Amino acid sequence: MGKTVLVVDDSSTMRQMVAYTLTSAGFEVVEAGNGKEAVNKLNAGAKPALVVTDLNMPEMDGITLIAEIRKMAAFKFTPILMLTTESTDDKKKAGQAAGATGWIVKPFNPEQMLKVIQKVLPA
Amino acid sequence: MSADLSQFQESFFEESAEHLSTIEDGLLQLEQHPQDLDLLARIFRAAHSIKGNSGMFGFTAVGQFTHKMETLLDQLRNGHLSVTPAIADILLRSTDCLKLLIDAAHGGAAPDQDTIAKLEQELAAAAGDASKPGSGASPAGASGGAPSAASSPQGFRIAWTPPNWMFQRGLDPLRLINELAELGTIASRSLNVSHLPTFASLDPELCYLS
Repeated sequence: MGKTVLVVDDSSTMRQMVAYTLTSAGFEVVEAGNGKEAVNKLNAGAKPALVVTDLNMPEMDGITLIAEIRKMAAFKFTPILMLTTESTDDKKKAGQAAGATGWIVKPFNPEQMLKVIQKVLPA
Repeated sequence: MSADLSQFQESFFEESAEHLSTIEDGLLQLEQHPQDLDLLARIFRAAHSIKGNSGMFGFTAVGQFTHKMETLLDQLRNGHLSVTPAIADILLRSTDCLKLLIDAAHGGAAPDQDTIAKLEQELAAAAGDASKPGSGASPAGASGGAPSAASSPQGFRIAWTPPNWMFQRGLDPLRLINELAELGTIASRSLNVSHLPTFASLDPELCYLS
């Protein structure tokens, strides 16, 4: 069974595309529509090896989510990639300050996304 | 292994229709409640999602136009500008235009270029021409800015002290070093262990090496 990735985005189309890209590469995917849902899934026992999150979301945004994840003992060192548009440079920095590992630019290219993931996933 | 994402186009059109009605309803409500920041945030997010998703399918006309709307909405959302009837009117007309652009991407008739250009100008003018040139997109943020090795035999001496919180962002210094190694040939490598504390006072969550 492949490693699990938690995909967080309020756009269902974007979630489907990321999930498709990842499952095609052998990953298991858990989806959440905003930060709050993601936290709930983690509290309910999801054990992702990687988190890919959008930043601009209702209920709980991506930056807050990243900070929340870093507070959880089990996910202190889990790689977190932000999935973000190029126009949010200051947000990218805020995300890194909150504990994000790196980012993937939206629109993403599936092969490039997988390459970045290979770089941050522990072997 | 290249994943074909074009199969998600229908989902894009369905979702965009929802976002368009969120924007439209939001703008109409905004006329009564021009200070409602939650409402502005919702409108902004809807536009932002259309923009982000449109790029996935190469709908550049949709993306560019939404970006112009987003810039103005951002100014409103951040309180740099307040909603006036004139601004609400521009945004409503822009929403109609965006609807046509999305229809065009779906195989409908393309909207009039002059209308688009004129609305884009109005949006930019209303936003105080604050539209910044887009910064260069960089594919991965995991690596630091290392000079790429030139083809000349010139060498680089790179000294790097990883910040001690490295691990806490899910980063592995060794991966970065290995990636750096792919850019050229490593003549020699050395590890500085002078900051390593005694075992008893070592915090396993911090990086001490350089």
